[in-house]
Amino acid sequence: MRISTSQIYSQGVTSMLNKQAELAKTQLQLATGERILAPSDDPSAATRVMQLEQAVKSTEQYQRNADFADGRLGLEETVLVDVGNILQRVRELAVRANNDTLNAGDRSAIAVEVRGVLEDLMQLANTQDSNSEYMFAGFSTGTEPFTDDGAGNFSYVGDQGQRTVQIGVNRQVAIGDSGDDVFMNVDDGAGGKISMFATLYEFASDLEANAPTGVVLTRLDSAIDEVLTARSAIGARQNSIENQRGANDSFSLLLQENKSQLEDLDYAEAVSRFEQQMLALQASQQTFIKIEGLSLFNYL
Amino acid sequence: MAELLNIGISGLLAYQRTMDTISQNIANVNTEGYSRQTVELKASQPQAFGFGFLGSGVEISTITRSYDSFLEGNLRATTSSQTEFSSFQSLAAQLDNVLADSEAGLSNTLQRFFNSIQDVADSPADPAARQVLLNEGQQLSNQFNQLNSWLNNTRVNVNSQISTGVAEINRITQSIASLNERIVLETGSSGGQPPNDLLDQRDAFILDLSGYVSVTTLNQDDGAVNILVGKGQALVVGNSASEIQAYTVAGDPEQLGIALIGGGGVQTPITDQMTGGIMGGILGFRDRLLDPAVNTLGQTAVGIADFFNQQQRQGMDLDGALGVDFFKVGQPQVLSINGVPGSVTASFDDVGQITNNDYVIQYDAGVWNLSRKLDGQSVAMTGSGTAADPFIADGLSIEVNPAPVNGETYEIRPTRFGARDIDMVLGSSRQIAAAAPVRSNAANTNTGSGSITAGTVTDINNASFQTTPGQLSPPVLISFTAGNSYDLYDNTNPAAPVLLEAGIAYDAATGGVLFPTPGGYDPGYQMNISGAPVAGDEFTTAYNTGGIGDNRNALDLAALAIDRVLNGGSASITDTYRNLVVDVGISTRQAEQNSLAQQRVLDQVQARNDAISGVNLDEEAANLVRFQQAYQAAAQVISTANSLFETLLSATRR
Repeated sequence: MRISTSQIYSQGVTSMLNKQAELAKTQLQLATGERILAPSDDPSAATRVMQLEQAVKSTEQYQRNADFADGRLGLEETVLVDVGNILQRVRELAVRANNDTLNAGDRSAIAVEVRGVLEDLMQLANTQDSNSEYMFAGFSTGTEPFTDDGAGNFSYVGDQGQRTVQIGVNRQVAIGDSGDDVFMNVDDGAGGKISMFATLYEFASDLEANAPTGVVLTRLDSAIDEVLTARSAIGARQNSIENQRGANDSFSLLLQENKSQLEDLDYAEAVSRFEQQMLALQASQQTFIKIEGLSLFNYL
Repeated sequence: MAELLNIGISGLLAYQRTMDTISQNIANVNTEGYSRQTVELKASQPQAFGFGFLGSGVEISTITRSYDSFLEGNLRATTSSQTEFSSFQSLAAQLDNVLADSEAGLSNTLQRFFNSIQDVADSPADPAARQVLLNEGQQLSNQFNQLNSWLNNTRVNVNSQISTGVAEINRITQSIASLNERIVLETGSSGGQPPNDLLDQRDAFILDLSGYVSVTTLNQDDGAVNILVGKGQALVVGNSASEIQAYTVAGDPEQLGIALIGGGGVQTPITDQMTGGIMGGILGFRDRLLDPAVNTLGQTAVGIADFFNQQQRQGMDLDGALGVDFFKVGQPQVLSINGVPGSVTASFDDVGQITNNDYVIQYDAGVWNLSRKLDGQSVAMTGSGTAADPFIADGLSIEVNPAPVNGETYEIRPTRFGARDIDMVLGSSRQIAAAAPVRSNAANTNTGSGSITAGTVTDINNASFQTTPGQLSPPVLISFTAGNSYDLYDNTNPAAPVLLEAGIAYDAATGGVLFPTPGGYDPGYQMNISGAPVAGDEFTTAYNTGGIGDNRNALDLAALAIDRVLNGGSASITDTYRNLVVDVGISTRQAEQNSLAQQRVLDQVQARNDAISGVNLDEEAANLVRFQQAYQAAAQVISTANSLFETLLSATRR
């Protein structure tokens, strides 16, 4: 086939330009360490990377939620341990108070202590978390949930709501318990319900009247059981959070690995490609110079 | 002897012309569109003698250009498709790059927005978490606006390229028309000899024109070429060119169309006929990639805004009020193509069903018909198009001109402004509706094991929420009369509940959903009772007054990150955005590959064409040597004739 002179020239130039463009792309890949520079480089991988990235970020958020839930449950656990200790102490006092050898003076001394710990118990039940939210108020966390009219009537003005947080795609965990369940619904030993506060209040009143009853022990035992039940529920939730955190961690690792496989540059391959493209460009340049120098006019 | 001299001179002259042509070829070795020229020689008319015919030298019959009309046609067609793909590709690459940039793209912002909802769900009463969500909401709407304007920068680019293309096409067709005129004139005045350089110039212009738009050429007997586009719209006829013009379509300043200006200044729209070439590439990019991309981005924006608002309205804010809209939703755009502006209106009926299509609604033969703009596929509508009973189709609610005339046409673009108009409109972070407005209570006196869930809202517009702000109208009391039956009371006055419905069955084995009741009582929320209540057990529902620690609605808001709420329940909000990125990526990649493939075809066609028409300097050098020798020989003939004459003179001198 005839070849025109301008064609020889433009072919040489086009081939050099194409090779330079390829080289520039490889250079950019090497500089950024990324295989996909724009979605069009590999649309399906690019969209997969977006999906994975989103999943990684969501999982990070689930971990944050789990940390938050864990902290919140930890705080509740601490409060309930204190509550349990108080109840134990009152139980000891109740055992002592029921001893027939005690006189009215001894009993009213115990009553003073019971009234003291009753205040402590109220304070614990009205504990606020770091956001100044009442922990045992259900949803109404802005209102002090336990009130006392000073005459032995204790009421709960919170509600039975229980907040849950998302710690996995399909996993929510409750991060608190309503004070109604924990403090107000204790078996009164007669088929009804009584609050822990009323138990202590009535106990103190009985002591002051020098007429302790045995039922206080039953009520305290139920109260202690109630606290233990709540604590074991917290422990179970914390365990489940721990499991979910482990699952989230390994999921996240897997996602990162997949993502890296899709988007990270294989340096060995890229460097050898770079060398190859450089060689090809040099070859193009050299042949261009040689061919351009060939002309019959040189010999005329 | 005179013959010898004449023959010699004819050779000298012929070879001089031949070498002139060779030097013309050499001089034009780098001229675009130049075709190699060749002098065609022939023996002159011989003289008749008694002994036979005696030759009388050489003469030039014509000068031809090396040209193959089939290859030239191929070259034009290939040029049209190559420039079409490459102009599409370079515009698509701009979109691709905008979407590729993780800072510019939407993924991160969307993810941060949804994460900040989770933080509110963790601590719904925490003002800091609420403020972060508000800021992220603002960021998100800003990002939509920004991305939309970046995409629309491409539209500005498209429009300026259309204007430039129109000007170039007009310049080229003018040149072709005036070359036609000169070619017809020169061909006539030279007795039919081809004006090669003018023909080359005209071919070069036609090739240039093919780069802008795909054309058909019709050769006329007088040497002129007529140029047509599309389905036979003439751009050049003989020595006159028709001007084309870019114009604004149907009141949309962002949309340019192309019209042919005919006699008397009549405009004929030929936008659809501008196929191939840069114009075809630009228009294809706009219709098939840019508009759907802006629409999909808009669909994502409308989707998140509308569903977020819906969920927000189902909730209760920090001050105990029902939630209000979080985002402003960009409304559908209606253009009057041929009708009464403003007489057709469109709004969203169900954002979950909307698509990224644009639509055309037309009144024809007494019926309104809706079709998709891009492929013309018809879309079924229900309703009658009135305000009371609007047309419903693809998630849209359309109200039409009550007194239409045949041929009325409107274009509906449901989501074109979705990303442009989205805005965060919530005034205060306290208005984030993290809580649900209802809650339940199990009486402390209950002795059975029954329990009740906190409840979910099913219809916030129900009278129980809307009658009096801040309370349920009415709160209800569920009072079990036996383990398998309960009565329902209006509990507005707890001291004297009013019976609403008696004897509702309950199964302790399966539990039950409270509402709606078998008798049809439905307060717009639902609660589940489970376990085994006993006679005398009571449950109540109430407005969630003071429920600032409740995060039920925030959890539902956060779930919108993965809930498949769009495209008829097949895609989440983030899915639609990801589809946009992948669609643009695939289109860009295809255009790149097509452009490369077409470039290879073009190179081959160009090479074949060059093989015929191109100048090769070595060949010209060889010819130069050849004709130089012939010229020297002819000169030698004259010299011989001279010496013969000298011989004769000296013989007769004695």
